[in-house]
Amino acid sequence: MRKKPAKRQIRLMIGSNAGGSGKTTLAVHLAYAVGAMGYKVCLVELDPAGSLYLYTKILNVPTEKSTAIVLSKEFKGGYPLIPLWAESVPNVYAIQGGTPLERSIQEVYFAARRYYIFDDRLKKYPLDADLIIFDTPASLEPMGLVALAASTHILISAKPEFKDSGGFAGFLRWYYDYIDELQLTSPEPQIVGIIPSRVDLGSATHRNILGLDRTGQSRTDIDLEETLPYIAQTRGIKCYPPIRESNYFLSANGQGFPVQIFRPGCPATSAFEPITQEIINLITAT
Amino acid sequence: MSKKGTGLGSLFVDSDHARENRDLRQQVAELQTQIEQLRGQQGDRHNQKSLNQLTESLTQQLAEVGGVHIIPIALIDPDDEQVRQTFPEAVIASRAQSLKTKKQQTPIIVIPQPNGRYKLFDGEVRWRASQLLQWQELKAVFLPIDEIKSKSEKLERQLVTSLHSQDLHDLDLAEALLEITILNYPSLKDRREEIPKILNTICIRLERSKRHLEIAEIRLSPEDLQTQWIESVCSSEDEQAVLNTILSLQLHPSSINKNVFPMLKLTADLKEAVHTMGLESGKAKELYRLSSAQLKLSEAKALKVRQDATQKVINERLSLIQTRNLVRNLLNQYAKVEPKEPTAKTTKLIQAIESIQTSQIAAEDLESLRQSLQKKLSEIEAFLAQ
Repeated sequence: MRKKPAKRQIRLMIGSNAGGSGKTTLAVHLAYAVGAMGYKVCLVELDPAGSLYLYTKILNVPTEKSTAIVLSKEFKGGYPLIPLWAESVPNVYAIQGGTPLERSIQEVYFAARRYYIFDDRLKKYPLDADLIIFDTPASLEPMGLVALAASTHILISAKPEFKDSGGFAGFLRWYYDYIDELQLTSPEPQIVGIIPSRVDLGSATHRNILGLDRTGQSRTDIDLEETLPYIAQTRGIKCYPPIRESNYFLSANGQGFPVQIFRPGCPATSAFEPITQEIINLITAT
Repeated sequence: MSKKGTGLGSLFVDSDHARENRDLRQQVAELQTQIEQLRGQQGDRHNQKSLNQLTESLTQQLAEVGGVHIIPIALIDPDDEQVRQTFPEAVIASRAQSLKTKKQQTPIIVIPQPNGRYKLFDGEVRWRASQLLQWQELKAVFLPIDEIKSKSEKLERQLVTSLHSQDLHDLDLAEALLEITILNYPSLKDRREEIPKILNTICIRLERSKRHLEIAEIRLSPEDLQTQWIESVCSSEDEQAVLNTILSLQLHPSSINKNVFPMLKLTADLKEAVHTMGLESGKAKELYRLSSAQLKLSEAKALKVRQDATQKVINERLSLIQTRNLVRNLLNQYAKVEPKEPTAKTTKLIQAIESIQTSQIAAEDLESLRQSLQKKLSEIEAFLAQ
């Protein structure tokens, strides 16, 4: 299928300062969606406790097949790519983190270039992908910084709850402080936006923070300036339409598939369209 | 009833400071570079003075949050052509309250006009709220005039912004879509009211040919592929125009046809409720059923019934289901709809007939039964045909 040609490699960090905010789900579904449009995608797991194994079906990944090998001094360019959903999409791969990453986390501090290691690797040994997605742990240090230093863009995932919103604020502060401290300029990684995730319109807190009623329409009985979308927008951060929690995600997860393969056409699949389009725009913009 | 506040804003104080610090650091770095460049060029004592002055004013600029102006509200004009026309009084009042306590936090966006006035591009809520407070001035940033290339591009930009922030009412979206379609395809200018019908024709055809399933994919496809597909499913240029406008905004044609364009049929009183009180689409569609024809009342009386119902929905904050029940009760009340269940006598008869054990009846008796039933059936059919 003819598509707009990729003009650059986008490296996207899915960031959050709170656990359980839907990062991996977002990463996986975005990887599939962009891959399904014909682009080459590589999902890089930087979380030793990550759940990418559900999709690669490899429970105990050995060091030489893990992200750990990329971060080690011995790496000579052969990225341990694991094909994902090969029957449905041809060009989506993962580099799985797993337990070997625990050692890497310690070793990062002793590396001469510390947080820049992944960026260095990509410079020295180009990875053939139009989109690289970094799935990072909620605790941002050190793998969050490794991803930040290697990323061109950041997408924030957050549940519309106070803890996650505080996490969002914390993440922003972390971002502003570190892009300077790591001197990530020319250009610095751009925040693509924030996606409210795991949204349950049955929850009053979710509705209040998003400023929506049970049907997903904007409310007039609430101070709109205290809602997450408004707060994000007034800080120049685009707030994408929320991704509603759905049992389809849980079922699909368990089987190791994104919902687009597991249950094509279900409402959950369309939730990713706006961000997918934006990422593709970034990849193909002239 | 006082507004609910989430208190979220207070969480962002630190990150806002971090960003401001960063912005300032960047500005300082830029200024330093400029100054050093100048210093490198100017060697002698003569220009040292002007260089010092320049440095001073540059330093002063650094202290400002660059580019914010204070302009008199009296010089601001609203944008009549803008997408968002729904400004519920509640939202305006709430913003006024917020402005009163917290002052204006973000500048509005205006377009400086050649006649010295300013046209609102974004910030109508704040503008209206500030008038409630009888303020004289507002902080604003300027959008240079050549940035807005065309009316339709401006409208599209506003629409896309609103769409992504999801605060656009379906009615406004419907109006905006009609506007944009006409702007892009002037041949439709005099046939505005036909556009929803054209879309409906397209949607029916798509569903009959099962091609509506292709929409999900084609929405995200690149433009050339979209154009090809549009040409293959449309049977006229008008149809292509309508479908192209909708798909290029990444909207779903079936959804627009089912939920958005029908809002245009709303009566004036319902549209008013939408615009001033933010009445939701679903409820508006329900209340629309309270028409003169359905209620079997004159237009004036139907209007009264509808207005009372609308008021009730808004004042008592009825949910969609409650609204639906209210409408149904009113329809039953006025149209005197016959209850659907048969009377007890008829029910018994039906039960008796259905309980006949055909296999347990002798053949000649069955024949008599058949004839009797046939005769009664003909009688019933004749009666119903009257």
